[in-house]
Amino acid sequence: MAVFSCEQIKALAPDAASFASACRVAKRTKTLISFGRSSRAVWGEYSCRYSRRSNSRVQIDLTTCECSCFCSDYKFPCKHILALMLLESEAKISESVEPDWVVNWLNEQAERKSLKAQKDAEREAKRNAKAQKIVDSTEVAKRKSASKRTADKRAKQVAEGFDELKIFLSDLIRGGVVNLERSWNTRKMFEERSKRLIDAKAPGVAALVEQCGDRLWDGEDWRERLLGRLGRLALLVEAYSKIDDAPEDLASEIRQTIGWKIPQKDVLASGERIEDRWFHLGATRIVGKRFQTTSSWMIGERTGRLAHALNFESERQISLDALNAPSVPLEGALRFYPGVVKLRALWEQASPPIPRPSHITPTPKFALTIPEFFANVAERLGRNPWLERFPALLRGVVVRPRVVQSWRRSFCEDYVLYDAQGNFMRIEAKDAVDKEVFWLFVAASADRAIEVFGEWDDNENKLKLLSGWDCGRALIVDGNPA
Amino acid sequence: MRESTIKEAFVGSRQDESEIWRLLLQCGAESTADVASRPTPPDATVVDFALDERAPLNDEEYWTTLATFRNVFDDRSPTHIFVREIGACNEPFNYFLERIATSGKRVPSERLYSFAKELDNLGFAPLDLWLAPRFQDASVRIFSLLFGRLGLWASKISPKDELRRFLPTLLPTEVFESSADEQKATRAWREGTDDERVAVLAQLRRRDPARARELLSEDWKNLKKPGVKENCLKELLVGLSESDLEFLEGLEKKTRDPFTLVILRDLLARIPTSKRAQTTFERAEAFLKNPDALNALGTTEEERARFNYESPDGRSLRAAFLALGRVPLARWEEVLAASPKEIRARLLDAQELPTFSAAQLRSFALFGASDEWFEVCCESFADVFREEPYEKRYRTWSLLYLTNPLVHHAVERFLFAALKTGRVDYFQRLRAIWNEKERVFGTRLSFEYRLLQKAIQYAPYPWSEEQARLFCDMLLEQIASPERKIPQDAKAIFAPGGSPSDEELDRRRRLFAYVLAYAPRAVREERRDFLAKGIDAFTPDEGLVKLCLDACAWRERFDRLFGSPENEVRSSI
Repeated sequence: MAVFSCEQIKALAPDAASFASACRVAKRTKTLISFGRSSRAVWGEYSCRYSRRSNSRVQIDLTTCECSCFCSDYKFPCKHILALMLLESEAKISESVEPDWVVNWLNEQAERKSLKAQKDAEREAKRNAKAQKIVDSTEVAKRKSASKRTADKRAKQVAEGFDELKIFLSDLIRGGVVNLERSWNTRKMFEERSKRLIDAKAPGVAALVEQCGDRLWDGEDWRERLLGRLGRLALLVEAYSKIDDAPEDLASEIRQTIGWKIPQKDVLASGERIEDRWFHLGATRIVGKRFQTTSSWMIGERTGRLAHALNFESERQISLDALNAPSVPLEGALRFYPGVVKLRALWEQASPPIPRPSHITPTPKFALTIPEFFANVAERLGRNPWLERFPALLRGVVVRPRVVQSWRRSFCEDYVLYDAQGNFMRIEAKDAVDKEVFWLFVAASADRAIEVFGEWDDNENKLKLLSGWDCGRALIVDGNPA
Repeated sequence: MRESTIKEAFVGSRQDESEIWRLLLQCGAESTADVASRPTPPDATVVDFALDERAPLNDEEYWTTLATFRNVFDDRSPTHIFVREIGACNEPFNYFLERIATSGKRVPSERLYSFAKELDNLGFAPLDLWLAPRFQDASVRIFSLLFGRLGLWASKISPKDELRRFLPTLLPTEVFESSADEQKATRAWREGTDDERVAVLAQLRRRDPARARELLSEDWKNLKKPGVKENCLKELLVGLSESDLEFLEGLEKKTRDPFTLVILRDLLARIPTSKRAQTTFERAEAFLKNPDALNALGTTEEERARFNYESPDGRSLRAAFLALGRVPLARWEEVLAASPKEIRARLLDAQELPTFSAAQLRSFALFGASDEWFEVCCESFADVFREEPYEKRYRTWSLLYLTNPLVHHAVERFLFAALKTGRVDYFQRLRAIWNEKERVFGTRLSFEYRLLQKAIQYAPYPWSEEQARLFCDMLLEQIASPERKIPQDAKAIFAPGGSPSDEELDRRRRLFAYVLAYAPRAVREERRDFLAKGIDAFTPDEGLVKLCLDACAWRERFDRLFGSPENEVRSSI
């Protein structure tokens, strides 16, 4: 059963505004009229001005963490769900009998789940039956040729898309990038090219092309940045044209960059296996249109190997891992995706919980200084020039605001971290949440050298801070005080 | 990336297909090389921020420092509860800050969160200061004291203007301390908001009264927003002297606004050599010697209606009331050569007794008086609110005293001296008089809440059990009543500004928890048990119960750590 804490709820909120609204809803007895809880679920009724019903309803299944709310908010979890969680976390909801609508909803959920399990079982049975049929060599050959045909078809589509991309890039350079500045529909041009690449089954490249049109004129060095991006795209096109001659790992890396997906079973069967005691370094959660992605970073105690695990969940489900994570490092084996950088990994056992480092330290010997980190970035870029985000486990850094004085007050001009030699990295502070995390780090760092972990964004040249440690003690974990 | 490559690609000089492609690949390769060999030039500004000038406290020192709160508990009333509410923050809070400052150390930064929570439990604001950006501006001194220069930075970042008005109260030391800051102060006066101007004026007036007067006279015409002129004038009370006479008299001639005029004339009446002071004393003396002279002033309805405006010839009931109120009560004794009780006895037969009573209250509030007058003023209070027509006339003024910062110290002496141990009955009597007259339940509640705030703020601490019970009961009534007592149609006339919002209720709940935390142990336990069971028809909500239980538990923990103040000799203010 899920037990929510305020920090977890804050982390689950899609943005700071939603959390603030939820706090208000939780306080306003006028809005949230009644609520109750049982061992299976928490529910509530609230008055809604725009609803046809007199009261709208919100409910959370405590066993699966599935939620439902009648509001039309496009954000998930909505403020009503968060408010209900807040009330639950503050133990303001007393035990009561489940009303009919909650019982019906829970039954529907259970039915849907059993139906899905049944369908899965049927599908598995069919597959097994088919596998038993394929005994003769002709059938095997037929299947192999079919899969080869599919692969060839995709390769052809990608090649066609790349040919067009090559012409597009050449045209841009022939006319000169200066023309982009004069054109009124530059962004649209990149978007259309990106859509064409999605049709050509190259979603990874499509994203890179779309990025080119994104915030195009920002900063004084926009020409350099744009040319760099276009150049890297050209490198990718060139690399793909010679993929047959490339070593297996590099070929796999290029394919993954373009957008080929490697089935999990292949990774589990043949991926590099590393057994270690894995420490959680930090995690971020991105809520997309259809699903949410939890991206967590780990480090092996013995090997010092960094690993990146991605976890996809449906949009309407709250991550159980994030809620029920134990506070100990995990002993186990990871399988790494093939490639030259080898960061992305899978747990050998199905969905182990994410460890949280409230009592642990990443072994300091693996933490790097700022110059060492950039050397590491250079080495990785040498192997894969299309990498954009790098895990940064840094030691001996101080998080500080860079302050500008005026006659009336001081302004925080920039958010940075420094080391003793004065090397610095700028910190990402796009929104209020980022800024709050930054101030937490400032408070925790308190002008002492600490160890931090974050994601370095090569495009923005900024570090997204996630966790911090001091003398073996966790200070901040995933942007929340430990 | 090389400059030549950028130029070539930017202008589009190449036309051959293979050349173009080569240029693109060159861009990619050079860009990757740039990123890979990114230099990180050391930043010179980092050197300026070498910290920290004060060492952090160790564990033992930390707990000892925390124990300084005991002084706040023992000697002072918990005024700081109101920091977040009305911005009133006086001695105890500053005293506490000074204690931290004089220790020569700062709170260890890793304890920032827990320490801030401790402060929050005590009713201090730093948790808000840290977490809420709206408090950051007011926290410069607090942060620098508690958390060293790091805190100073934190407090200076992204300040908001809305709490600027708290600065003068939170930062009693002058910001513009030396004449070197003169230019800065002048600039702040010219470019600042109205509240900032008042703050600057307050600081300047303490240091250089003439300069403050000069600034005010220069800009008098530009102070157009309602209330700003009044607030600026109130600051002149500090260091008021004969040198201000010419300036004030000049203003009096120019001013037409009745509210500004009242304050101007109050100030002038305080300068003995002024013409206004002399005429005021003469007029008051005449009325005191011949109370029946007042009867002629307010006989007709029209004249009663004119009460709201002080007539230029000074021949109105209101002018008489103000003139009497501007004379200290000690002077009343001199003129009539009688003790307060005798004066009261003489005036009892006067037809316009409530006017005399209201004037007594006003004088008491403005100048203060001996304890003997307090008894008399309590009876005067009853007079003013006993008679329907008078009550309407003087109520505005009575309420004005309560909210007027110029006189609140005097008011607390008058109204809340009743709250001294053993005088709760007197307070209840005043309260009963008020309640009897005020039939609109909402107005009564909001007035009582104001009374309660003042009472908690100024009643000597530790409170007696009787006092603590009174506070608890009054607060519970505040919390319970909107749902329990007010009929639906009465909510429409719930004044001021409708029924208390959820936020207001929350504030009352929180205040109740604080009061419980500061109450004597017997009352604390008693009320806690009540809360758990429910009181009469009022069933407290779970939020309130949790808040109160937390506060009680925290207080017990505190007492275990530092000993209970109830075992020691009570001090008094």
